[in-house]
Amino acid sequence: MRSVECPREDELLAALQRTRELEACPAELQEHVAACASCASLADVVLRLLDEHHVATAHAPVPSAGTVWFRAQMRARHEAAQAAARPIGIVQAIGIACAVGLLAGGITLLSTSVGPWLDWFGDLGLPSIELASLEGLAPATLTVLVAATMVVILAPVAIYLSSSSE
Amino acid sequence: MRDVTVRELERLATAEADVALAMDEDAFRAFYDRTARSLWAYLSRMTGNPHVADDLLQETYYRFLRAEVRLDEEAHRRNYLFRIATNLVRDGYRRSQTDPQAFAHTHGVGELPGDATMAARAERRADVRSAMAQLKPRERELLWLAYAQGSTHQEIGEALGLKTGSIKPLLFRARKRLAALLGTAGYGGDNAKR
Repeated sequence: MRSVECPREDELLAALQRTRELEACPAELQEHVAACASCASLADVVLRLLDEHHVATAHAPVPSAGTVWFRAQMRARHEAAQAAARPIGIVQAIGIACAVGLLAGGITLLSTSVGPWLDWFGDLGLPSIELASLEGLAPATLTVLVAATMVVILAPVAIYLSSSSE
Repeated sequence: MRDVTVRELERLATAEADVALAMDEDAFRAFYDRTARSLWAYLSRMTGNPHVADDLLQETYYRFLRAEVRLDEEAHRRNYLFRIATNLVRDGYRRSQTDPQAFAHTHGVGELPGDATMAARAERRADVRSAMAQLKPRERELLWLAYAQGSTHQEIGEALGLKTGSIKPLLFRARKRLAALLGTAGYGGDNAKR
């Protein structure tokens, strides 16, 4: 499909943009429009849209520049304050996760025997070979392992909850 | 988690906090005065809802001010502004927050019932709005920017994210479609009255 039907369309468009009335265009161009269906169609579409644009802009209920500027400033500062507060929430979440991990490790250390815990895991159907390897660990090592596991599991959850709550 | 308190907001409002914006206040005021009306007209005619246009106007200027894009020329700033506005309109259209069919019912603010000429012009504008509502969003954008606003093909390309070379054929097809919807067989009759 050809993009231009009449070579004078660009000339007509420029004249209409300038004058906004066909009657104000050069007489020769007006005669051409009367004789050229493509240009006549273009003129009608353009003039209708120019009229619509004139009405829309003349009565545009826009706020003052100062109002828009003030609102933008306030919003930007509010978002900056929220962004500044976000690391505090993340640190708090990590701290809570570490505290829970340490608590779990402490419980493990204080328990007189890890056997009942391993039996409980065994009831869940975990492979026995893993349970046997845990029995050989020193209590301190097991404590650290449990604490680290809890931190690894809980920290991302806590960070997610902290971020999503904002 | 801890929220921002009112006291903190008040402290920030006293300009203790310095938030970087794309331009200073004086430059923004001048730019706003040159672009706000045409931007609102574009938003209201693309969304068909003047209230949505009010919200999008503020949002558009906010995103423009917060953008980390350095634009030294007025034309580029203007194109970037309309690019933001176009994306916001499209986002709203995808979320069905704007009703293209409402375009047909957008009334020009301040239009008063008057004589027969005024009534005829109002009727013609209603025809245009009804026809524009039946176009695709990109077709509306192209026609408005090219014919109503007088943007060049390069400016349209920057605003809509299209290659300059593709504007002409797209615009041609959009214009033909609008003309068909308007039932424009040729120029003449009451179309000549202004």
